[in-house]
Amino acid sequence: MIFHPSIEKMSRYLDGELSPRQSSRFEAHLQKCPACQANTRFLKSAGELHRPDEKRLDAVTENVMSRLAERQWSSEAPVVGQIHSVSGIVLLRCGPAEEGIEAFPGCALREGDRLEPIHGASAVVEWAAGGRLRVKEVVDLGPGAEALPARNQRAPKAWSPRKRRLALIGATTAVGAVLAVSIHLPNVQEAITRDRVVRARVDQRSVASALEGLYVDNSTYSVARTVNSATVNSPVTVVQKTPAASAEAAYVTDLSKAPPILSTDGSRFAEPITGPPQRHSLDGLKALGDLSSGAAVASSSGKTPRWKGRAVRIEGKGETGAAGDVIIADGRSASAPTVDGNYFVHVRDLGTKELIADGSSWERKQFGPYTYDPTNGTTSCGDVWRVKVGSPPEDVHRRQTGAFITEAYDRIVDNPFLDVRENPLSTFSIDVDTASYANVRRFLNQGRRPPKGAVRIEEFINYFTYDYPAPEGDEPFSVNVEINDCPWNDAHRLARIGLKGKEIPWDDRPASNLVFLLDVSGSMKPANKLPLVKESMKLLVKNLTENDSVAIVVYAGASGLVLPPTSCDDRRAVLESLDRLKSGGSTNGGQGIELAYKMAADGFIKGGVNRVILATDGDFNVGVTDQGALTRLIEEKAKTGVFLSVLGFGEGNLKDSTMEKLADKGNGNYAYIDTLAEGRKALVEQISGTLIAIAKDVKIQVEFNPAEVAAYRLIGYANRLLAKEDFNDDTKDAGEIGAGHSVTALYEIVPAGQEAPTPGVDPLKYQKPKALTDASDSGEDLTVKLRYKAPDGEKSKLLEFPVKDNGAGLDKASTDFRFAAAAASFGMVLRDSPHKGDATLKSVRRLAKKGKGADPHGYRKEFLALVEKTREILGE
Amino acid sequence: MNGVDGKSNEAIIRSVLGGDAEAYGRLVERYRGRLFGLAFHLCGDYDAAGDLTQEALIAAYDSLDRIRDPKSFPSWAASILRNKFRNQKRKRQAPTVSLDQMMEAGFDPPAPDCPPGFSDEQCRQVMQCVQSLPEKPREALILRYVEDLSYKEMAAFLGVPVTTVTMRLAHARRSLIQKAKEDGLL
Repeated sequence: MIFHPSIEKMSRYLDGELSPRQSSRFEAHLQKCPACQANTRFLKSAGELHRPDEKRLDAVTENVMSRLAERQWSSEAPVVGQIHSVSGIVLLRCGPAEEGIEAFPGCALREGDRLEPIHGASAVVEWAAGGRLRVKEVVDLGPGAEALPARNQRAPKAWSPRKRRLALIGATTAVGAVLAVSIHLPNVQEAITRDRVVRARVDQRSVASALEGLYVDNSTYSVARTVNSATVNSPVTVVQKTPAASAEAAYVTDLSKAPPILSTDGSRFAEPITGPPQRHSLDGLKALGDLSSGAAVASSSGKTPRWKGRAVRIEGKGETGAAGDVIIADGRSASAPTVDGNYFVHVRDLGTKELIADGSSWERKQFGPYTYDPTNGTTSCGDVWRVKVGSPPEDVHRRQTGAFITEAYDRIVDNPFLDVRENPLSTFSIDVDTASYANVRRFLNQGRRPPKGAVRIEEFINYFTYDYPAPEGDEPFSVNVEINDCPWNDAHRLARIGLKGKEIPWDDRPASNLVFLLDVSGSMKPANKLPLVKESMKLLVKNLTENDSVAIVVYAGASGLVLPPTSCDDRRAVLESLDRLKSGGSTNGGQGIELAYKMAADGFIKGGVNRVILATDGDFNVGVTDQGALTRLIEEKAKTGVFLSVLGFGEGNLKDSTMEKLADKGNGNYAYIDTLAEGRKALVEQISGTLIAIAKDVKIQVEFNPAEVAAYRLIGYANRLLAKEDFNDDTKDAGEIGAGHSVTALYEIVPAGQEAPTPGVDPLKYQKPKALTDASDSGEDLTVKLRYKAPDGEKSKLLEFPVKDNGAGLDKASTDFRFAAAAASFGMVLRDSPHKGDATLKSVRRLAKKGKGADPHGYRKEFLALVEKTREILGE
Repeated sequence: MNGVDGKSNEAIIRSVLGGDAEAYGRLVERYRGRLFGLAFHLCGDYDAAGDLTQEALIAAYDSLDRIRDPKSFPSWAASILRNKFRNQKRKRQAPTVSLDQMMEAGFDPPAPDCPPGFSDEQCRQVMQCVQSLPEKPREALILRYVEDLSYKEMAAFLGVPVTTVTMRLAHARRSLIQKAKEDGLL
């Protein structure tokens, strides 16, 4: 009879918890006992089954760390501050001050703080130079008073609410406060603290009054208006010397968490480093930032720095031991020695910790020469502390581009000039997308130059509505052509082809079956993502009626149905479901899309509007990320009559190219929504166009007359070009036009008789140049041909419009013509297009000013402001 | 408790609190396995477990200044994770969010990470067997399966004596073998 070892023994054996002796005894038993062998094997394999893929664990680390990083650099931080503005008085509520440093009694603000004035606006705070906070933007939340309380309730999460208080701040700004930083070493910390308190108070008042001023000036908070100005890089100047600027440039001093001491250069220090400082000559040092007291330095010998440290003080040769060791006094004017080289730096070793030094990273200056810039805004803090953060905003961006920003843009090549004799036909698909303009606006408002690939000129032009005459009769759209002088090239002409879709009154629209497919993954948490998605969708829902049904599908780690198709006579149920959405988890867009299409198919309304509306920051990071598979699915579904619109949100992760493609394949449009105002534009003002397609597969083919035109160039639409054969091929997909949409295309034309700016080809050996037809004598410049299908049609219809150039000069041009030209040249300047000719931001502004027209929604006014902003950024 | 990389939890937590968010990565690396195991035990689904682990680690980061004993970081994080899970579960029971129903209806069935040499069906069956074990033994078994922890480490993590861990694992394995036999897997 065999005695089997107990399960406990087997268990401990499997877990390696038996002593070696016990272990070998157990193994000996296994040798001769098939039953125990089988059990052990089974238990082992069950274990292997449960071992998660290492990638899953890596994903945990990656997601946690990137979310923490994101929080550090973006405005994801919890909502903590509130500014209430009542009849000229601003109430500021914010979290408790730390460590006895109070900006206001009981009050401190920090990065990411959201100021919520009660007039339906909110302000976002972000990093500015010198470790200060500034108001990044004021966002008009519209008549959304109901929306705010919910946000505010969640707000205090990261703050212990016990010390919350309401502080009353008069709208007067006490800007004259003295900011001198004492540099007597024993008192330096105290002085800095005092300085910060003073500065913070002034700053907070400035913010308050800036917000208030905005409200008074415009009787509303301006939409997404950036309150800061170019003074970002010299915050001290703002406070100290130009009080008038404070209404424009509002700063809040950083009083953020934990570290008891701040250096005035904005680097935050914690953990004093002990031990006596060592003296080094600069020859052996590399500065990690601009070299000044408090700057980080490292030994330079070899590739790997032997140690890193922080300069305690810097001495010029011959002045060793001189009194007043601190070199930089107040952040700008420096009593520093001006002789280059020959400095000695007292350094304390910081160990092996990687330093982020004053906005410069180690990588950047690793082998380059250090620079010593006494005008750099750095000051000594008298003691050596470990650096935490401290970087001017542009550097934050630079670092983000390296590490955290994963936006994706396709490369776009500007269409070249084409010789009319070689290429008489120009064929392209229409495009009603507008996302590029809104996305570029976001970049510019953040003071950054947008990547060239983000500028799609046709979307710039089409962002604006043009007052073309509405179609007559049964045609779904009208075609309007205007030819004038080309504003950026005197010798050329500019032809504008404008399509205007039939308006369908909102009340006459067909019944709709909408499925919202919302990304609720962790990355959607920031205020300009999921919260904005919810508010935007609510705007849409509020305009829907009993004829419309809405279903909501969300996706994150798993996708799920939050709301089954629900008729909008019960609008409240829809709104409540939207309210309940929360972000969290990783993203699997693929499966969510399938579920959304299933819902849309279930509720399919024949002859109605069947549409999935996808709102995302563009992430599909688990599961089906293969663009090919995704677009195939979407294309297939579009054929069944379920169209897809894409709303892009947020930043940092925007997969611009993917989203445009998805919308393109799904017979829908792609809009980028960065503010609630933009949400209102896409989902309320232009909702008919967004939802109701009046024609699909709209293609344009222009035939140029060689007798009148030497060469031409289609501006924009670079990724919408079609082969000339595709025009008559009904199986080839093209763009849709929605109710009331206008679509504009511009051609730059080189009139006949001028040399075409094309490389040209040798004359053909076996063929003669084709003879011209009689029609070439007609004086017509070109013929516009259009093909389109009814939204549920299979066969295309053809429209033709011959166009003559009557030689009008720019002075005769319509306002819309000028404005379209302005939008196009703005795009060309931003793209630094080889064809931009004489276009400059100045000429853009001139054109746009003359082309502003009635501008009922203020979009053209905003364009002008954006051009100004760009001039600042590009320094033109 | 020191990890392989030598630095004590206490030192890491101090530098995190001192402002070095990156340092938190070390804690994540060190304890993600057992937290993931615990989450998997609670959720029964890898995707959800991943999300839950993340949420718990973020929440732990947020309240790191309130940890009483840095040495007990793993079990402290585990209690955060358990709380998170309970909250999630409660929220999911809200009447109109039919996420659960949807999952039951069979959309997006969690795909098991089936290692080579096993059919999907086998994987599913074995996992089901494990899922049907009583809670405490199952917790111990899954934890042990997901990450090779010593009994001592597990005891610390679960806050129970080593003998209890030994008993639970033996109990779990006994039941598992029994079930496997019932289901014809063995």
